[in-house]
Amino acid sequence: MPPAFREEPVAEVRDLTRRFGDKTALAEVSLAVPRGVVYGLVGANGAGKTTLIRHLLGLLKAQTGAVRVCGRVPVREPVEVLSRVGYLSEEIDLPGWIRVDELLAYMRAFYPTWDDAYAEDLRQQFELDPSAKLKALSKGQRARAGLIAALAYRPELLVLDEPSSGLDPIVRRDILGAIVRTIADEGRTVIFSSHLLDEVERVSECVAMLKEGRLVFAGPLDDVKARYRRLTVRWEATERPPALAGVLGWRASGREWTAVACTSTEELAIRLSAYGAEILEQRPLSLDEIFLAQSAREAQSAEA
Amino acid sequence: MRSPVQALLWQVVARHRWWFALGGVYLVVAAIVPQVLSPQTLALRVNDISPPAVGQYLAAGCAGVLLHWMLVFVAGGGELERSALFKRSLVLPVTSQRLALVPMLAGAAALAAGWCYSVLAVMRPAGLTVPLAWPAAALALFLAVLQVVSWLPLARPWLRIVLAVPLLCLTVAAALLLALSGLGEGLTAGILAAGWLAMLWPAERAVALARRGDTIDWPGWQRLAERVARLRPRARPFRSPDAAQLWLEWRAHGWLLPVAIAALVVMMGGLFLLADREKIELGWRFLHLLLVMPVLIASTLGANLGKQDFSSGYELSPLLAARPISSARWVAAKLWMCAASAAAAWLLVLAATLLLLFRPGFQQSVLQAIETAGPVRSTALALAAVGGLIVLTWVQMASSLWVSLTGRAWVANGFAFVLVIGILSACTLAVAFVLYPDAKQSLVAALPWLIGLLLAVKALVAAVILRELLARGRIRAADALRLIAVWLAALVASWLIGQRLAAELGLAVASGQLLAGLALVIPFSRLAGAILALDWNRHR
Repeated sequence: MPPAFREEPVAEVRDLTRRFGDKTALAEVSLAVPRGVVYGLVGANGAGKTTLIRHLLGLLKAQTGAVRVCGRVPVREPVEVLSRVGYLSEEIDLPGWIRVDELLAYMRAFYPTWDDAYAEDLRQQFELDPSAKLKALSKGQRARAGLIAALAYRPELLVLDEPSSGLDPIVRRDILGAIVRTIADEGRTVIFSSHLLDEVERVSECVAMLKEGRLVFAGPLDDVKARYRRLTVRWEATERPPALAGVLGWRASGREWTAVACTSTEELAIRLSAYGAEILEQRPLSLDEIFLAQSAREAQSAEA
Repeated sequence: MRSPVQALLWQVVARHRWWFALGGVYLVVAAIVPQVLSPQTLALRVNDISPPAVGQYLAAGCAGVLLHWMLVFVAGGGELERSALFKRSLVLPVTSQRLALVPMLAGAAALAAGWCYSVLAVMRPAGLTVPLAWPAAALALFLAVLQVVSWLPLARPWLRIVLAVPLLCLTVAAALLLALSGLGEGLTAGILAAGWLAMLWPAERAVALARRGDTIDWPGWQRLAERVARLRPRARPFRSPDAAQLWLEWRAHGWLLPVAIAALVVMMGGLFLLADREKIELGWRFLHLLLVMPVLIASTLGANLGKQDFSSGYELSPLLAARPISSARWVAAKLWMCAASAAAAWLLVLAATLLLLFRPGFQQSVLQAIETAGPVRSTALALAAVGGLIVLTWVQMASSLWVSLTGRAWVANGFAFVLVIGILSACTLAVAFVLYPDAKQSLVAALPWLIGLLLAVKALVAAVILRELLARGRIRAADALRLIAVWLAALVASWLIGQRLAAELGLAVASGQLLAGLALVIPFSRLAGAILALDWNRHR
């Protein structure tokens, strides 16, 4: 177990439920974000990622359950929490009339740890004109400006809510670079929500998946990936393989059937042998494949 | 929807349906009032030369309703920074001609019909002598000009003002000249209607340009702006988070009041100097207008100062809401911004007052007034009046902050609705007091009890707000005590000044009544409640 997992989590959510009218945006979500990791939040649009992040920032108040960030309740002690958190949202909805240098001067005032040299270094790297107004910048440039504003004070926790949504690969690379840089500083943590799963897989050490407000899984990425495998099974019988607990989405190819398994191989091999089936091959899955398999399972359960 | 025309109309009207309903109710009630009141009552006048009081009051309401209709048909819901047209309507499979024609025709028909109804069912039965046809056509033409100017896709928002002011002034002047030329009502209306028809082509062009994504720009201005931007020094660091927030608030809202005052002063400057130069009394009227202007404009701005900036929606941007600044300090920055804005506006007003002294005879009239009152007394009175008006300007801005700080459109709309109902009720009450002096006597007798009751409610609300702020940890007990102390100091100071002013002006006001009245109007809950409102917005 890495040392980070033994420390107090930098962000912790317990039994968090949030409703907007009739719609349940979050249903009894519990997770802990260990210090010093990149924590990926994945899920389809409307899964509840932004709602969860807004609870972490104190922008939404927990209806039931509890939220703690850096050991404090964000709604009760917003200044103490927000001064340690860097935040970049999907919509870079800063006032359009503000100039890049004015934005940085404004943000600097709130954070005693603001690093001018670092901010200037990033600005030059991102090729942002200090005298340009935000409304004159492209979406990618605005994202870069927001990123400087979120990084330049080296926050304890960096929260990026769908930061690369709708952006070109070069800006996405900058954002991933920022995540790597942040985490290179000892003890800093990144929470990163995205539906670009290859990005999450590339930089995250831990991952949580939300589906319609419910937590499907959460934990170290290696553990999650170890739990899921694609199986190829020889199935001699003419009928379809039976529904087995922990096996998702059987698909046929001649006498060979494939499925995604999220249970122990030994246990599954015993159960399959009872039907005369034999596991021919198993291989690890990408996060993308796990996400698709889970989504298919949820859809099947809903249909059932 | 059965047809594109119906869908286009629905798009314009649906968002305002409750206001339309309220306007409709008013028009019905306004038509019933002249039928119910006696002819003697309808003939009551404030003085010999003014029109009948009831008719004036009813006509003002009708004008308000028609003004609302006009605004609805101009600003469809798009962003005025580019074009006021609905963005989604630009991609509908209908011709630009139809896209322009539907709101133009509907707006013109609504305004003309509304005017005719107001004249025939409300104003004439209430004893007012008002022309029917030509103002209806003039209203339609005015709306058409406004629609064209609003729909044109201009690259810079200020270009719209540059275009709108002369065009609208020209339209009004043309309508008045035609009406006064003795052509006859029918012919005047016909010429104005022809003017409306002539606006169809530019309206269609404006829509077509907006659909193509073209913008009308002035490239020279862009080059100049870039050159100026290069000359501007890099932004300097702020001393504190409060200074940074105050800067942001000033840039977002603070400049609005001074700019509005400056624009009005520029527009009225010529009038100050030229209008009937022989009449000294007119100079005093202009002075009164100048002194009242900041307070009136501040009262209309106040309820929008809690937004991110004047053109944004009510909900706070998450990026700004997540700044590590307490709601109390954020509200304090807004209150300082209001103070700076009021001070800047009043500097302009005082500078414009000097303009008036150039009117022939006005300077002598002022000096004479000073001599009559005595230099010390008149200086003290002037200082008290200007000081009081500056504070009142600030109060008008600050006391409505809570409305938009809640970040909920329904609170803002509800507040506006209640305000309109309140103003209408107050006007109705005022008219009723003129008609039934006995009712006025009864109210005057009950006033101490009424004020006492309202003071009790005010104290209760203040206590609830303070308790909530303390319970949430948004302010400390010392801050609460400081708030109460400042409020008490403001109360005592205004009471002492009020007593002195009443004595100077020879007004018989009981000291206790003055104190109670001031306690009622000096805001406490509205200012302290702004912190709670912002908190409600930031932590939903």
